[in-house]
Amino acid sequence: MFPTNTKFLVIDDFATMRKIIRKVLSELGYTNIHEADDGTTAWPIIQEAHSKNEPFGFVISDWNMPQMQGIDLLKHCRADERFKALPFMLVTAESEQKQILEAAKAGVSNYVVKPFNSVTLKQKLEQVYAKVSSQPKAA
Amino acid sequence: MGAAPKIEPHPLFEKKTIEAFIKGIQDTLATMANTVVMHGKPYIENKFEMKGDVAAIVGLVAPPLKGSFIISFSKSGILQIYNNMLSENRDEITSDVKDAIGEIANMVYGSSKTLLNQDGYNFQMALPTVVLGEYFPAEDHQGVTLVVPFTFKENQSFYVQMTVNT
Repeated sequence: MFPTNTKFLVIDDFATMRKIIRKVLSELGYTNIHEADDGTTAWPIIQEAHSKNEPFGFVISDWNMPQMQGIDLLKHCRADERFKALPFMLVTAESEQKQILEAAKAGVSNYVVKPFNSVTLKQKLEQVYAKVSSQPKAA
Repeated sequence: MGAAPKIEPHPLFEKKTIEAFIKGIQDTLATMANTVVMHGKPYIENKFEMKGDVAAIVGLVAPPLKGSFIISFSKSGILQIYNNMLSENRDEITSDVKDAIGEIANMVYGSSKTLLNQDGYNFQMALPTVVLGEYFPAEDHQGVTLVVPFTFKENQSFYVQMTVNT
């Protein structure tokens, strides 16, 4: 599993969902958890953290947000060499096939469908870790 | 006593639409708030009347259909759900509680929409609005409202209402 000092960014326009995800992450031992309420506010936070040499190690984002949606933030990340490999999980109530395909095509690391419980979220994090661990390290 | 006025059936009030929203509510509250809710018999009112103290309203758009989906709670009902959901102990409807109502509506609508779209509908994404006190669906609603009552432990209740727009 990801080390407990992994830096998380949790993005959702509803504070309730940010609180629920933070609670699950805390229960798993993570303490370095940051929040944003939309893709538009999250994108500069991700870039700034990288430029300060304190990059995020994992992004968990809602899909359906009022200004920049989670899928568009994911596309921003994947289009930028610095964030191509950043673990990025979408948490969303949208689970239609076309949306799952769109997320996969955009390079999502995993996908959690709301409503979910803490066991499901933990399993999804573990799946991302397994995927990341199996990838060859860049030279 | 005269017979109840005859109401034209509307596609938004079809059995499978109602069942999808009931399932969305039951799954959401069982998973997120560890709360088992039972639904009563759906009925139709000729005029929209607000129920409960606080509500989330989602604009339904499934071309060519348009309407509103409303979940309304009593103060004690939503506080019980909120406290179960977040392991907190609130006794007033604060901005956090209102936010939770919006997220509940978001999850209910999203999961119901998935079921319905797999069945040939074309419901679009929508963001809920949360209102405390008096509330109304979209201005162009036709009045006729489908109501589904729900109950859960200790005699708590809440309502789902669906209206259609002209």
